[in-house]
Amino acid sequence: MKFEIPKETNPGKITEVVLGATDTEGGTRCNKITIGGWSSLRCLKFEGSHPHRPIVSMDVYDIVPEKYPIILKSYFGSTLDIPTDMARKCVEEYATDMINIRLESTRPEKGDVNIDETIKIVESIKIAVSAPLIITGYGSSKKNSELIKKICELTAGENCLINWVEIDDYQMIAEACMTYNHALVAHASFDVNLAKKIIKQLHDMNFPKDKIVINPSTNPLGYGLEDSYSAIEMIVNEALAGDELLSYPMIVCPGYKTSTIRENLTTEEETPELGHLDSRDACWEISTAMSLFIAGADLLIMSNPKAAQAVKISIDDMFNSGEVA
Amino acid sequence: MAITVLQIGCGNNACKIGGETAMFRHEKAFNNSTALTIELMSSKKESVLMDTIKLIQDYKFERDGKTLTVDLFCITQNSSTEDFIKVVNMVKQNTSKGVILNTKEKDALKDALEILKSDQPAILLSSAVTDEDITLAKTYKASLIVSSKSFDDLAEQTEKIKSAGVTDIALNLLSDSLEKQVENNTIIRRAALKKNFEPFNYPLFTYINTTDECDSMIAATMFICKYSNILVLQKVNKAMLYTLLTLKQSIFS
Repeated sequence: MKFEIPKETNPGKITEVVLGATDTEGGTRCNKITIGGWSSLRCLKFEGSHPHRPIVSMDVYDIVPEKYPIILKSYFGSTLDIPTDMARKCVEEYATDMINIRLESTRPEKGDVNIDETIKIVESIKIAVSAPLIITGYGSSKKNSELIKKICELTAGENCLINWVEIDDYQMIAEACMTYNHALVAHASFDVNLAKKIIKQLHDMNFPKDKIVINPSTNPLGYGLEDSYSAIEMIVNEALAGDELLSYPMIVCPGYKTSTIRENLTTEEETPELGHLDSRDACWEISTAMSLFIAGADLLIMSNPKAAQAVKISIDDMFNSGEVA
Repeated sequence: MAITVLQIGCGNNACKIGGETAMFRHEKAFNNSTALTIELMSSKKESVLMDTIKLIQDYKFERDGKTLTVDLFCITQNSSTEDFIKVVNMVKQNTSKGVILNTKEKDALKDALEILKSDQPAILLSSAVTDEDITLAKTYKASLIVSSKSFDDLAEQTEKIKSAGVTDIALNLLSDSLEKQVENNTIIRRAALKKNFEPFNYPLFTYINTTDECDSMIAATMFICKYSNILVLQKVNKAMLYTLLTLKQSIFS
């Protein structure tokens, strides 16, 4: 019996986005990273091209969350109090592709630290590591917008990925990204139509199309993962069908979200059915990350070093190259 | 077209798989979740096997109003027939879960089927299906999991089985890498659902060939998401079980 493989050709393609800038491009990063550029569903290499492997980044905090899993504390130890040391550890020991600087200390409910203090931390990390940077703020607020704008200026030319802007509240940060040459994340809140609207707003202000990334929103496993999973699959399907408003690579945060859930904040005595602390945190984060990877996410921000390394090695194997193109 | 629904095991612990009608869960919800299956190798010490059997039999927890449990055992003969039959008896006496039998020895298979004669087991075939295999499947109401490295051969085998009147079939297309397995699973499922290619209108079987915790989790996650209806793991712990059972509940909703 001769079986004919049912091949599908897609009119659409995910836009290539370059992150980071070396001295050739006017930055100080040791390398640049390209994501996107693919033209068929994840792993279906027989019907499309997949020129760039998805990327694993790791979280570095300006201030570590009050509730933080014991097992992650044991991995990072005293570096948790010194962001530059934590960033170095992620790059040198855990071989992360990028560093995600997660800024929380300026939030009114998390310390309300002065913007200038936070900016000093970002500057010190920028100097301490040469991996490309993601800057993650905390959403829609005047203080956040002012903080991110100043960081855009501070990191001018580094081609950072600025995470994130929302619908109807994007102008200040998007303009700063254009002025200082950074890429930008559009936040979609699990909603395909919302993603289209915010990207239309960015298109209307002539934001460069090769500098847009979508954040579909991440729910961790057990807490609505399926909403993130299906949002990504829907966005990918429409993008590959030719909808240019959705044809952008996606960023997800399996690490941060996994570290905040009940299961990873309890002890082995309280929840014995969940097994050893080390295994449960890593397993949960791997499962969250790999579900979103197989759905189509291109940039995974992770927290657990064991999980991050395993996922990175596995993705490298799948894409047959350890080199970042 | 819908994927054929297959039942392994019987009674309260009967495990139903298949029934999908769409490629994506946002098009139509997936209902019968992947059968999480734990391998028992006949060469292992009796005490180790018993620990695993007890862990799997007793492991359960409540989440979102449902009790989540492990689904099946896969008993693999990698030592003497005597060892293999001993494991079959241990499972029969200590658990109520369905069983997949994995042996190349026909006499061992017959003996095992006799022990499990009222339990609706499945037979994992490692070589091309024979008339004798089909007769055994009919006699013992067992499912046949057919294996091959080629699409063409796999299709020929399912046609042979179906023409003999047996439709309790699962497909095991052997792949040499994770991404190739996802690709092959997708091709088979697409052929069935979108091209009405009847020889592939059956649930998919996947064996995860690693004992490493992280690598097992990576593979199992990808295959729960992408179309494997039966997933066999060689080695598990509570953290892996809790995570994978929760993932099944999430994706099949």
